[in-house]
This record gives sequence, structure tokens and C-alpha cells, in this order.
Amino acid sequence: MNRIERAFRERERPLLIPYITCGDPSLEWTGRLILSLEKAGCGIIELGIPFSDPIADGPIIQSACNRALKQGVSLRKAISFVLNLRKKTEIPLVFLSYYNPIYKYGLSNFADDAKSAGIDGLIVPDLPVEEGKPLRNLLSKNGISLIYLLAPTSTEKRIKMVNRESSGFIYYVSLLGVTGIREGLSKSLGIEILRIKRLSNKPICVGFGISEPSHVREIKDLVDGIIIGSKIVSLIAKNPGSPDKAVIPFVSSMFPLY
Amino acid sequence: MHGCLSYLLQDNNGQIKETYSIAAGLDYPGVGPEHSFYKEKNRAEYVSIGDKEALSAFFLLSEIEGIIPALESAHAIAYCAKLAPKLSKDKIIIINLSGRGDKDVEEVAIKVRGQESGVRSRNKDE
Repeated sequence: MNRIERAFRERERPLLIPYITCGDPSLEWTGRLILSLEKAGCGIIELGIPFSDPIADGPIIQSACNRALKQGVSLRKAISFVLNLRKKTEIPLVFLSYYNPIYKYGLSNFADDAKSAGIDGLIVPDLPVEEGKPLRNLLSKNGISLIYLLAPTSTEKRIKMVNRESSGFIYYVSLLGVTGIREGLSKSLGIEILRIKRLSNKPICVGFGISEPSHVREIKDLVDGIIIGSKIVSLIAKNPGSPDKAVIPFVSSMFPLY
Repeated sequence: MHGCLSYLLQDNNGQIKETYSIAAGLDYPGVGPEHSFYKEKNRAEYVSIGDKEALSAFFLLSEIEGIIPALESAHAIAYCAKLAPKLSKDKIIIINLSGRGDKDVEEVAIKVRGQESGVRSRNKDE
């Protein structure tokens, strides 16, 4: 059982999963933010590997990727960053990386190095299940979860396939579009989540567009985890000198809701 | 990238590099999967042509044949002009003129006359 599986088994409420881009505004701040987010009560950290062409991301995370790339952050640097951070925390860490940096790194090298560093899971938004076998097998040998995504357009057949292939949890994309801050959630989100849950036996975490306390209140009883990305990244962008002063109060304000 | 496993302009970390080409259709960091496949199978040989050569070829075909080639296709014409003198006279070369250059006339005018006059002539048209 890896740290992700343990976190879901032991959870008393849906896990709050913040997304931050590795190296935004600096690697030093990423480290400090992760430790503060853990202390605030977050269950898993989703750490974005900056990429030049983040096709699933809206402007907020695109800008964060550019800031991190300017800091010279690469997949290799992110892995050694986690290797160091692991001395200080046992919080489950999930990388979100597009496929090309991993492919270029070498799937097998990546799986080995990610394991040594203490990375628990991987989300690859541009890797379809049909193409994911080689990476999945290597990761699974190293005890690392490969987390696939489902969307409102996923068919029953696809939900079953993702449920079979996904490990750790299933990432449910709450909307048709890219990451970003939205005013309201889809009206049918609750029904869609129930539809996925009926066909799956893995933890379901919902992300994309979740940015307000009211959103969290709406879905908290339906899901195993709630992923908040763009809202947190926008707070970091607005407070580059001391991002924790904005991020931690925001994240902490979510907990009394459930 | 973009759902394709193909040749890419990228750095050692797998980050996609910025591109530039005078032809909009070539201003992309990836190679189509079909071309990547032909290259892998050694079914085609790929060469490169610079902006200036393509631009000359654009004029060459326009002036000699009255056919305005797309800037993308002009790259092929430029290579043809390089290749032809090396072949015997009875060889036949076929170029697939993949698009028409009417769409590129304004871009070419700006390139040839300089940014300023290109903008001026566009304003006059309006």
C-alpha cells in the first residue's frame, strides 16, 4: 500500500488536494508551501511539472508553468527536489506531468528515479488509457500509482476501462474545458459523480474549476477528494513575496465546511 | 505532443521549443505522424530550406509560370531548383503544389518591401 492508498483508507473526510506548480515562484517556496499545506490539513499534494505546452491548463496555470520554466525547473530538478523534501514530510505527493518530458526522460528511468525520490503517484493529462500500458507497468512495479482522468463525456465503457487501469484514485474533470477559476459548478456534477461511482471501486477526486467554498460544500459528500488548482496558483501569483500568507488562510477556510 | 508521437523540436528536458517559419503552415514544432512514419521506414528523404530560399522560389514560379505557390510549397520549389542541375536532362521531377499563394501575397509584400510599406498598402486597400 503506498501513501496515497493509505491516505484514502484512513481519511475521515474527503481529502483536500491542492495543486501547485513546482518552482512557482521558486523551488524554495514550493517546499515551504508543501510543508505548510500539510500542516493546514491537506491530504495529498499535486505537484505540477512545468511544461511549455500544457494543453489541459487555462491561462493561470500556463503562466505558472512559464514562471517555473524561467526558474529552470525541469522534470529532473523536480525529482531531486522531492528527494530532498522527503526528509521532512510523509505527505502523499502526486506529480502532474504532460507525457513528453517523461517520454524524453525515459519511462524506465523515470519510474526508478520517482520511486527513489518518494513520489507516490502520477497524473498525465495527455496520456490516454489505450497508450498508457508501458508506463503503467513500470510505475506499478515501483509502487507508484498512475491516475487516469474521466470527464463528463466519458462513456460507460471508458469509465470501466479507467477504473480497471487507474490506481490510487480516479481524477474526475468536472467540466468540458481547461483548468481555471469558474463561478459555479456544472448543475449535473452530482449526478455525473454518482454515475462514475456506480461503475467504479476506486476513490474519486474531482478537480477543474473548483475554486470557491460553496463548490466544496456542494460536492463534499459525494467524493473522496477535492482538487483545487488555479485558485491557489492565482493566490501564489498575486503574492510572490509571501505566497503562504494568501494560500494557507484560503485552504484552511475550506475545512470548517465539512 | 498534441496527441502525436512524432518528431519534435524540443530541448533535453522534453520542453517544446519556439518555432519560426515564413510559412504559417510550417510554423509548428512537430512533424505530422505520417511524415515521421515515412522517415522511420526510410521511404522518404527529408531536407530543409530556409525562409530566403523559399521566398525566391515563390517569385520564381510566379514569374515563370504565372502560378503563385503557397509559401509552404515554395520550399519544395526551392529544393527542386537546387536538385535539378544535378540530374540529367531526361529526368522528370514532380512537385506537389500543396496550396495556392494568394493567401501569402500580403505577407510576402511585407517581407519584401519592409514592414512599414506593407502596412501602408494594406491601409490604402481599406
